[in-house]
Amino acid sequence: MPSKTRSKKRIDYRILEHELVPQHRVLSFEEAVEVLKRLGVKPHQLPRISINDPVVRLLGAKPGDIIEIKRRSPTAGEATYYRIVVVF
Amino acid sequence: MVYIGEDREDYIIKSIVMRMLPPREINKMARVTITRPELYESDGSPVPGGPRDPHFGAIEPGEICPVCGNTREHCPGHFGRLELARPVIVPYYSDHIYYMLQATCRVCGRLLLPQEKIDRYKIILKKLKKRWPLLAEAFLKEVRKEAAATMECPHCKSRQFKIRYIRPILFYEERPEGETRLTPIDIRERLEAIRDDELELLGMDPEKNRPEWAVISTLPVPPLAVRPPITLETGLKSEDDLTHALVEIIRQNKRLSNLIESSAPETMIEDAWLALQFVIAAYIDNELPNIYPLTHKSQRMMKTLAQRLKGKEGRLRGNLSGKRVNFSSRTVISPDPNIGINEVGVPVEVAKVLTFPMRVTPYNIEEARRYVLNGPYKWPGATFVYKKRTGKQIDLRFQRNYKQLAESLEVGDIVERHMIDGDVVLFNRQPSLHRMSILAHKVRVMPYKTFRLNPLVCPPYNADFDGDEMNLHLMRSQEARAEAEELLLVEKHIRTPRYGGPIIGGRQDYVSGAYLLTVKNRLLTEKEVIDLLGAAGYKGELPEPAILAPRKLWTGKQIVSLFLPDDFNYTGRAKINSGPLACDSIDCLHDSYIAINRGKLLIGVFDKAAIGAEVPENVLHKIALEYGDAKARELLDTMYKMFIRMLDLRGLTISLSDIDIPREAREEIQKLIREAKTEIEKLISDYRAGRLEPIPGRTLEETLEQKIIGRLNSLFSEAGKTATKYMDPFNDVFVMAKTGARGSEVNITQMVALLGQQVVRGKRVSRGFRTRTLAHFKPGDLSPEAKGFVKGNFRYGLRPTEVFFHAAAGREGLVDTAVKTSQSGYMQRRLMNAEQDLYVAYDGTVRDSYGHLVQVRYGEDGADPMATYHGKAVNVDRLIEMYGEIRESTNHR
Amino acid sequence: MSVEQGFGTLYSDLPLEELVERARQILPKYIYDELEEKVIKNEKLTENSKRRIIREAIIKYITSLAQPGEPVGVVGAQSLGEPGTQMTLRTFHYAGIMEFDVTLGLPRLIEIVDARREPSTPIMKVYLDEKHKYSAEKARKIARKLEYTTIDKILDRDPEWMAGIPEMRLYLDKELMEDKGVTIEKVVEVLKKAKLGEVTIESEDPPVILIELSERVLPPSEADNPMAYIALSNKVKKLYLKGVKGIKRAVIQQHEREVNGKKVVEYMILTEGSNLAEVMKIKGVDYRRVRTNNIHEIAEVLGIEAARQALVDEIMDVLRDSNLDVDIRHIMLLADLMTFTGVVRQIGRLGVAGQKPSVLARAAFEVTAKQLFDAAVRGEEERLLGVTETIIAGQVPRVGTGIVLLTSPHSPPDRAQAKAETSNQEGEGEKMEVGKQ
Ligand SMILES: [Mg+2]
Ligand SMILES: [Zn+2]
Ligand SMILES: [Zn+2]
Ligand SMILES: [Zn+2]
Repeated sequence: MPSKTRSKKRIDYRILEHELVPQHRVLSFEEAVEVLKRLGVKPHQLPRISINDPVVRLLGAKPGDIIEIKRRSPTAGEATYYRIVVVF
Repeated sequence: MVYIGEDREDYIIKSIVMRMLPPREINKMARVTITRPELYESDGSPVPGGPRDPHFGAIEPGEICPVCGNTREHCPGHFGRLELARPVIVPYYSDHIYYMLQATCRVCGRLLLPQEKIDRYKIILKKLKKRWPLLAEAFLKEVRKEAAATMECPHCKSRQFKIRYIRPILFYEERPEGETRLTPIDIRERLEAIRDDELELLGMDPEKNRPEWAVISTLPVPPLAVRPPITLETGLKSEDDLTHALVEIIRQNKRLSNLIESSAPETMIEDAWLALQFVIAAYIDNELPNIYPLTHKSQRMMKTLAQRLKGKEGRLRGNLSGKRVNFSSRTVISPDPNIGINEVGVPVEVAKVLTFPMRVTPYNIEEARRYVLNGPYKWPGATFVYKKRTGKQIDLRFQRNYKQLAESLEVGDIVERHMIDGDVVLFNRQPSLHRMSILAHKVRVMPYKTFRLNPLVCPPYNADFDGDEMNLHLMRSQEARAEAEELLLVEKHIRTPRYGGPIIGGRQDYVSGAYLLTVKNRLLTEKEVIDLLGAAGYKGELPEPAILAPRKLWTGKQIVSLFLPDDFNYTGRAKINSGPLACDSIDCLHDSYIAINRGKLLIGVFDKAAIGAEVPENVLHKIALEYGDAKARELLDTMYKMFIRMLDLRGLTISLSDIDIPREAREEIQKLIREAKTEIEKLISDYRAGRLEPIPGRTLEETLEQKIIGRLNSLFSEAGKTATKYMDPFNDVFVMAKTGARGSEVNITQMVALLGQQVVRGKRVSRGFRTRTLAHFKPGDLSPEAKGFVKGNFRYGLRPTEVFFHAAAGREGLVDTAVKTSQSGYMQRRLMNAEQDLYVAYDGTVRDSYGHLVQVRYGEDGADPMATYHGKAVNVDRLIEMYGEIRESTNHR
Repeated sequence: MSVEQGFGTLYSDLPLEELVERARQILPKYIYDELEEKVIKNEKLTENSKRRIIREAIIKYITSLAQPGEPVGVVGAQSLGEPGTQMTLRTFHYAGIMEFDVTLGLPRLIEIVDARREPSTPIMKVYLDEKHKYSAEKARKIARKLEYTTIDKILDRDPEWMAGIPEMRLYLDKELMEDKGVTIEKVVEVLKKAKLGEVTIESEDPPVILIELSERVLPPSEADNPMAYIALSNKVKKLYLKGVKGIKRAVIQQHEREVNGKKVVEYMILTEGSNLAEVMKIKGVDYRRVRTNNIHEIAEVLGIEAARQALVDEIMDVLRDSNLDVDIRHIMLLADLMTFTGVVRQIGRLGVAGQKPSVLARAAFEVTAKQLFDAAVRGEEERLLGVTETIIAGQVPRVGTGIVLLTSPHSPPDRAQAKAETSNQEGEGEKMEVGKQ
C-alpha cells in the first residue's frame, strides 16, 4: 500500500544506505556549468528529479540544482548520470 | 517524371501551425452557400445550393469546375458554408469552454484572480513555456483551479456561480434561483468578454485564437473531393457518409429557421436548436458520449469526421503513418540450400514486373541496348525508355522495332530494365517484430513461382516452408540500394542486437549433419571427402589423411577444420555435453567438449552448441565477432553446405522402429506406472481419511494436488529414463534430440513411454461435469486417469478419454497463443511509440528528437549489444584464450 | 583478427605501462578492473602477450561502441517486444516455495511498463540483519511482527452474542494465537482500548473473553436489535492487534550459502502485500536490502533513482523467469526514459507516448481527435522532428542515417550532362560539392 503520507513522514537518512539508492551529490554552480557544457545541453533538456524526491529532500537541494548520480552499473562498473531538480 | 534526389529541399515542410478556424476564414474559403438539403434535381443534375453544388469542385470525369476552371485532375476542391440559424458549440472545444467559463467572471469576463497574481502568473508561465512545456501545462491547471474556486470577481466584485458541464455540449449554471442552461449565445457572449492578454493563462494562444470561435454560426462544408459520391455497378449514385450527415444538418437547420421565422413557441425553438447542436456534434464525432449517433436506415453508424481519422484504419495510422508502395511482390517461399545466405531466388515472372530505372551512361550503354532489344516480355529486358532529349516516355509493350529503339539510346536516357541477378532487394516476412524481419538480399532470377530462401536465414524471419509467404521490394534509387547493401544485407545481421548472439545459423538438419560429420567414429573415404568438399565449393589441396592404410581415410574433424581460420582457438561444451556425457575437460573421452586450436578441431563434436542459431558465444558467433561478418557468411555458405551434404551421404530418417522399445522395457514402464498409482491411491485415501498433513499456507486439497502432481512428474521422468535406456543411441530420433536439432527428451518420452499429465490452467484437468471430468468416471474420482493423466504413448496410441484430455490441453495452448499475440502486439506498439525517437548522438549520449538527453552514455558503457559477447563489450577471458602466452620460466616451474 | 582492420599500427609499439594507462582512460571501469586482475597483474603471461591483449581490448571496446545515429530506442522496443510472444500468460507459484501466487511473464511485464499504481500481486523480500538472519526463531519473530493481524485472525469462530443480553464472547484459537505470537493479555488490552465495555478473561484454556457491552456502544434502545450486534461483532473482528499495514502474510524462507567453504543457513521473509516505509523501520530487518515489487512505492520512499534501478531489476527478473535473453542495455534505456521526468511514467497514452511535444505523434498514437482539437486551442506548432511526424510528412526521420545533415547534392541530370560535355566528351565523374548544411 503506497503511503500517501510523504510530507508528514520524518526525514529518514537510512534510505541513503539502501542498496537501490545510488550516491547523489549536488553540483556546485561551476561544476554544473561545466557539465552542461560538456554534454552540450540546456538545463531543460536534462533528466529531472522532483524537489519532493526523498533523496533530494535529504540533500536539501533547490530547484535548478543539478544532481550528480553515481550508479553502480552492470555494464560499465560505474556510471554517472545527471538530473536537474524541478518543482512539481 | 521526377526522380528521387532532385530538388529535395524545395519540398521540405518545416513546421505546421495548429489553430482554431476563425469565422472570417470560414467565410473567405467558402465558394458557395448551402441553403437546401436536396442533392439532385429530378433530371439528375446537382441542386444549386445543395450539398452537391458544382462549386464544391469538379469530381466527375470531364467536368469543368465553375470556380477554378480545372478538370477534376487539377481542381483542388472548394469549401462551402452553411449559415446556422442559431450558433452551435463545437464539441472537443467545449472542454476548453468549460475551463474558461469556470475561470472567468460571468459579468466582466476577467480572469478570476487579483491583478497582481495575474501579472505574476503571466511571467512564470512565459518562463515555463519556453523550457518546460509539461510543467507549463501543470501550472496552467493549477491557475485554472485557483480561478475556478474564486466565487467573487476580484475586478467587478460580482458573485460567481458553479458551472455544470455535460459532455459534449451542455452547460448549466447553478444560480440561486435554480439551475439554468447556458445557450451557445450566452456562452459566446461570455467568451467574447475575455481579454486577449488573459487568454494565455487560460491555455489559449491569444495570437492565434479567440475563445468565441469555439461557438460557430457558420459551418464550413468540405469540398466534394473530401466526400466523393461513388457510382455503383447498378448505375445508382451512392453518397459519402459525410454528405448524408450534412444533409441531416441542413434539414435540422432549416427546421430551426422555419420555427424562428414563424415565431413558434420558444420551447419548440429550443428543442430544434438543441437537435441541431447534437447533429453537428455527431457530424464531428459520431462516437461522442450522450449524443444520438447518426445512422443509416440500416442502423449502421455513419463514419463522420473523427471516425475518418481514428484507429488502425483511420487517416493517421492507416494512410499517413502506413505507406503503400509500388515495385513490390509477394509469393510463397521455399528452401534452397544451394544459394548463398545473401541471396534470394526470384521467379522470372516477378523479375519482369519489378523494374529498375537505369540511367544510361557511356559505360553501360551496350548493356542497356541489350535490355531494350529483348523487349518487355523476354527476360532480361526492359519495359520503358525515357528519352532525355525529348522528355518522351516510350512503352515497349506498344513498340515493334526494339532494334531501332536500342540504337537510338543516348547517354542520359533512362531505361526501365527488368530485375537482374545481383540487384539488391528488400525481403520481408510479417509480423515484422524486429529489424531482422526486413533484410537486403541479392537477386538470383530463377524458374518456377516461389521465392527461394537459404534455410539458414529462417531464424531472423521466423520463417518455415509450410506455406509461408514473403514480400519483396525492389529499390529504385542508387542511394537506397547502397544504403541497403551496406546496412541491411543478410550477412550484417548474423548477430542480433537483442542479446549479442548469432541469430542466423544452423537448425535442424544442419545440426544433425554437423554432428554426424564430426562425430568421433566418422571416417571418410577419398570419394566422400571430395564429394563433401565439392558441395562446399572448396578449392585447394586435400589434407593428409588421418589413416593411410589399408586405405586412405579422413576424419570429419579434419574436413571441418579446413574452413576454420588458421589462428582460431576455441573451447566449450557441446550440446550433447549433459547426463552421462557431461565433461568439462580437454581430455574428454566422450567427444562432448570442443577444443579448437589454431583452426584445428581437435576434439568434440559440432552440434547446436557450436554451429547453431541463437546460441551466444558459440563457434559461429565468435568467428563473426572476431573475423568479421563476411568470414562468418563464408562459413555459412561453405562449411554448412557440407553438413547437409553429410546427411545426403548417410541418410537421416525415422521410422516406427525408432520409437519402439522391447517388451521387457514396456513392462518395466508399466510397473513404474503401477507403483506410482498405488502411492497416489494411498495419498487419496489419506486425504479422505483426514490423515494428510497440509503444506503450510496451503489447503488440504491444494496439498493433495501438489503431491499427486509431484509424483506423476517423477513417474514421467523415470519412465523417460527407462525408455531411453533401451533405445539405440545412434537411432536418428535420439541423435536429433541429443544434438539439439529437433525434439527433446520430453518428446521422445511421449512417443515411446507415456504422455504424462495433461495440464489445463496450471492444474490437473478438473472441469467438465459437476464432480468429474467425463461421464466415464465415478463422481468425485481423484485418481490420475480421471483427471487427465495419460499413460498411453504415441507409438501405441491413446484411449478415448486420453485423447480428450490431450486435446483439452492442446486447445488451451492455442487459445493462449492467440491471446498472447494480441497483448504483446499492443505492448510492442506502445513501447515503440514511447522509444522510437531515441538515438545515439555523435557524442555517445542518447537523445530524443526533441533534444532531451536520456542517457549520458548509451547502456552506460556505450557498447552496442549487437557487437558484444553476449552482453560483454570486451571478453577478457576470450582475449587471454586467443593471445595469452605463458611465460617460459613459469612453464618450467 | 580482422577487428584490427582500420586501426593499423595504433598503439602497437607503446610500452606496457603506457598501454595500461591508455586502457585505464579509455575502457569502462568494469572492463579495466577485469583486465587488471586477469592480465596486468597476471605474472604467468608474457609481457608481449599482455601488450597484445590490452591493445586488442582497447580496439575491441572502441569497435563495439554504438554508432552515431543508431536507433537504440527502436531496437530496444523490438528487443523487448519480439520475445513477448514467447512468454507465459499465467500466474505461477513462486519458484521454489510454492506458497505464493506471483504474477509473472507477459502480464507482469505489461504491468511494469504500464507503471500500474499497485502490482496485482504485491510482494516484499525482507532480508534480515546479521543478528537475525541465522536463526529461524528470530526470523519467525520478525515475520510475526510484520503480519498485519486483527482479532478475527485468531478467532476460533465468530463472536457469540444473544440479542437482548449486552454481552459478547470471543472464542480464541490457541494454536493460531501461538502461531501469530499473540497473548490473551494483548487481546484484552486491545479490547479495553477500544472502549467497548468491561472485558474479562472467562477462561484461559480454551481462551475465552467476555465483553460486557457498555451503553455507550450499545444504547438500550438497540439492545434487542441483532443488526447492532452484528455491526459490533464486525468492529471487534477488525480490531488491530499487531503488524504492518498492508502485509497480509509473511513466510520464512531459508537459503543455504557457502561462506569460506562452510555451508551457512540464512533466513529471510517473503510477504504478501507491501509497505516499504514501515517495514524498513522494523528492528532486525536489513533496511539496506528490503525489496518490494511496487515501483511507485519505491519511488516515493527511496526516490526516482531507486525506482529506475527497481524497474531494471524487475523487468530483468521477469525475463529471466521466462528464460528469455534480452540485453540489459535495452532495459536500462527504457527505465531511464520512464523515469526521465522525475516520476515513474507509463509508456502509454498517459505517459511517455502521450507527453511527446509533437501533435501528430500523439494523434497517431491514441485519442486522435482530442489531440488535434487541443493542439489547435493551444496554438501548437508541429515542428516535424520525431519519427512518426516525419513519416507522416513524407520526410526523412532524424535517426539512423537520417542524422547526417551534411550532404553533397548531386546535380540534376541536365547540369551533370552539361558539365560532362564541356569537360570531356566521355563524361567524367561529377565533382563533389558540399551543400548547405
Ligand atoms: Mg509457417
Ligand atoms: Zn475548382
Ligand atoms: Zn467581474
Ligand atoms: Zn568427457
